[in-house]
Amino acid sequence: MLSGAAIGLPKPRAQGRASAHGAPPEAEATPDKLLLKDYRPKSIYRIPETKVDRAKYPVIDCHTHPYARTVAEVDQWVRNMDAVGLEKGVVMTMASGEGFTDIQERFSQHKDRFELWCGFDFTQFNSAGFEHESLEALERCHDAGATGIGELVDKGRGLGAPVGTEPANWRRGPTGPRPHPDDPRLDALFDRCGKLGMPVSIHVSDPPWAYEAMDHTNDGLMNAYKWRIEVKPGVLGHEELIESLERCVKKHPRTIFFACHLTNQCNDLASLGKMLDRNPNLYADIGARYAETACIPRFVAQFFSEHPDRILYGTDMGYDQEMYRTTFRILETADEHFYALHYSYHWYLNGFNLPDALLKKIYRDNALAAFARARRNMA
Amino acid sequence: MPWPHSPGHGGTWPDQGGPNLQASSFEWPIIHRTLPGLEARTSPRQFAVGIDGHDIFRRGNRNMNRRELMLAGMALGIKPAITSAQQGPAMAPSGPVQEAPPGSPPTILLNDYLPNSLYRLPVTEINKAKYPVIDAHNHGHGPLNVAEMVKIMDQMGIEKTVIFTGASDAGRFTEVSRQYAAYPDRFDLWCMFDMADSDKPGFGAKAVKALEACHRAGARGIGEMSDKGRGFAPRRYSRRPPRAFEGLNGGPTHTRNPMPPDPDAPTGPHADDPRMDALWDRAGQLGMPISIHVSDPIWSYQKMDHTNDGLMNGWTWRIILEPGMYDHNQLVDSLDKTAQKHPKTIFIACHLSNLDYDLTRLGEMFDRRPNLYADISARFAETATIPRFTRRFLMKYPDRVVYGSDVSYNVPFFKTSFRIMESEDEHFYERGKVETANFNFNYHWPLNGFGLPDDVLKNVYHDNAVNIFKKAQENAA
Repeated sequence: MLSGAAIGLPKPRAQGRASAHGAPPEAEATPDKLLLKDYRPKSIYRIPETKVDRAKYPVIDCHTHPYARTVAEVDQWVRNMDAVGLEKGVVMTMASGEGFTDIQERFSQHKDRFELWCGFDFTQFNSAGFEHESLEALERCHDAGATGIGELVDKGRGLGAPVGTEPANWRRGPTGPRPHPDDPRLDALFDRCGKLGMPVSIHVSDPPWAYEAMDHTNDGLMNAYKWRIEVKPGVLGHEELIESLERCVKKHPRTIFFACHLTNQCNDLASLGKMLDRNPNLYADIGARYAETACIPRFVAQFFSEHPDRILYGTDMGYDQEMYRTTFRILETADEHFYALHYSYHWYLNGFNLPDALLKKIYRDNALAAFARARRNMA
Repeated sequence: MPWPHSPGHGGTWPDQGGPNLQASSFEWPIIHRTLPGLEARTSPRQFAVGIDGHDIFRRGNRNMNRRELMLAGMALGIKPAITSAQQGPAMAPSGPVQEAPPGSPPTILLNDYLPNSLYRLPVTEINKAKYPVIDAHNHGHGPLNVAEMVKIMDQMGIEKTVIFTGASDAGRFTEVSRQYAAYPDRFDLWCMFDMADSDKPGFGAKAVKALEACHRAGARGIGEMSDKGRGFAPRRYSRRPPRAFEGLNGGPTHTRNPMPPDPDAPTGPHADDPRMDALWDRAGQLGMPISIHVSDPIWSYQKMDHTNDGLMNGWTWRIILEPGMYDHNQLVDSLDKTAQKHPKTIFIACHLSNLDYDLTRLGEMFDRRPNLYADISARFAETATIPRFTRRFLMKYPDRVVYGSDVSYNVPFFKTSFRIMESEDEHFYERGKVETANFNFNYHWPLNGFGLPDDVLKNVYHDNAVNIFKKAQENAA
């Protein structure tokens, strides 16, 4: 645990700034010189703090990645899952071919606890054989045991752009131009996913603050700065990406789509709601969008209750027990004004206080229903 | 519980003793996203960052430590500050600090941070209070004339306003009263205790005489008696910050200038000082309730560093305890004891007794002291950050809290205060002018509405004040 003293105003850096700006070091120790990026408020409100050790109902995590690097780490992950009440994790490997089977091998001791999803192989995207090659690759992953696709990511530069998380030897991104979700050259792939009963998890765009001016009015700092996106020619903007996703979802009504991170419309859930209404084959996961929703808890609870069958639990934040517990606290309790999930936004978090029936659905039943629908659609 | 409480951005390891405070503010998550080629070396750790860029906090040896990454980086000849559309402020893994460009987020001071909400959420426009309001905490017409003030009252649904005239002698009280004489039904005028010479013999009798004279001149209550640690001083002594200056980029006007501590501030007895007993008792006998302000919000007393949740306001209102001063707890306690000692006197604790951060304690005081009430004036920002808890508190004590403004009258103030009381709107900022409608004061927090149920709203807006005045009269009889 970091003590207050341990993270007191950074002396070495303060002096560094002092010399740069000519102010005496002692002046830097007052909060009027405190940088937003160094601000780590602690709540001292004496209000209820609910300790949630285990999820109230069994949970399927629809958005995680192969964080565990070894068999032993996978074992630890499963122990963590047992400790907090996680039944199953959908591990989006994003990998294809050998990359996928490597990961599969690592998780093979716990087949009942993880669904392994593969990625598309985009390597041939700009050559004539793409459709055939990519379908073959998909079939091979499916035969090997992949039960879904994900996470496909388009933050504006197209699918298959390096996201920095996959190892180079697994990278299946295209060289040259990259497609957006509604690209007709991907139609056969998305259709085949439907026929194979494989849901597709797609991440488009990023939270809106990443697109805003990076100044003192940006409510999403400092996180927005870290995730900042410069929209320039050839890069799709926030709205365009969401529209591209929706066109893709509409084109493939027999394919089940999971929109990651509430389509990054945490600031505009009403729009997401309309999109869910228009597209019965679309679901949305809440992975890694707790901080962005926990600042509007009553509105979020209302939104979830209006779309009770379409929201999926997800994490996307490792497999630490405390991480899981924090997400449960946000979903289950009416706790207010707490700082958690490693400080990246300046605002405090609050729990959604979801009713039991809804909680059950979001934790597990909606995922099971979506998987079942995907299987039914293939028939 | 290191994980959820650990700072996360900027490359920190919860189990390595704190954030990276070295000259190199190296951000390890970013290196994975910015440095082509590194992935090959770090492939076993590929998912250290969530796909969307969330840092993953993992403990112990599950992470490559900073040294390893630095070595890996150096081995690959990584250059500092590679930037592209989606990257953060990548820093060199070793070597000198990469100065952030002026004006870029890493250089923004908390002091200058004035975020606007991007959330598309219901915005409840309230043009008039849902029920008639008695404002139990106001200091006068300020820059308006009384007729203009009454016009705003009519528009916003304020039936009556309690004016703390600040007068402690009948002459001055009468003088102030004249300003309000045209509207006898719209104002309740209150006086102050005469705290002069409180250290001299005869103080009590003299002050009681002055109080009686004010009462005869029409004073209906006493307030605001204010003790922020030095006791009740002879004249109203204000720590009010200097006037506002224009905000950044023509933004909202507000002040960020703290009041310097003033060791020469006048002092006097605290509420629980025996010298005050005669005054409290006499007030009760005269049927005059007392508005009493003790302490200040808790963040004024906290360490003024990056952990202070109440910045920058805590800094603006900071209180430096000096020998002889009462601290926050002693001040709250002094009020509690006083209410106990003088059960026939009605006390209204201003600003929720500055227990906005600990309403449970205020509730316990209500339980113990049936003659204790509280006003919510000027503590909207501190409670609008815990709207559901505040709502529960007000529902648990529906008869004990009264509405108050504590600002010069203006329409935006009432609109926002009613929005906080009545709506369930979430995540909004209100930064009007200081001392008018700056609901955020200098807090960084977004605000949320309580969504009070009608019966409680009616009580807080109106009925509780009526009952307090009635009870004071009954006690006098």
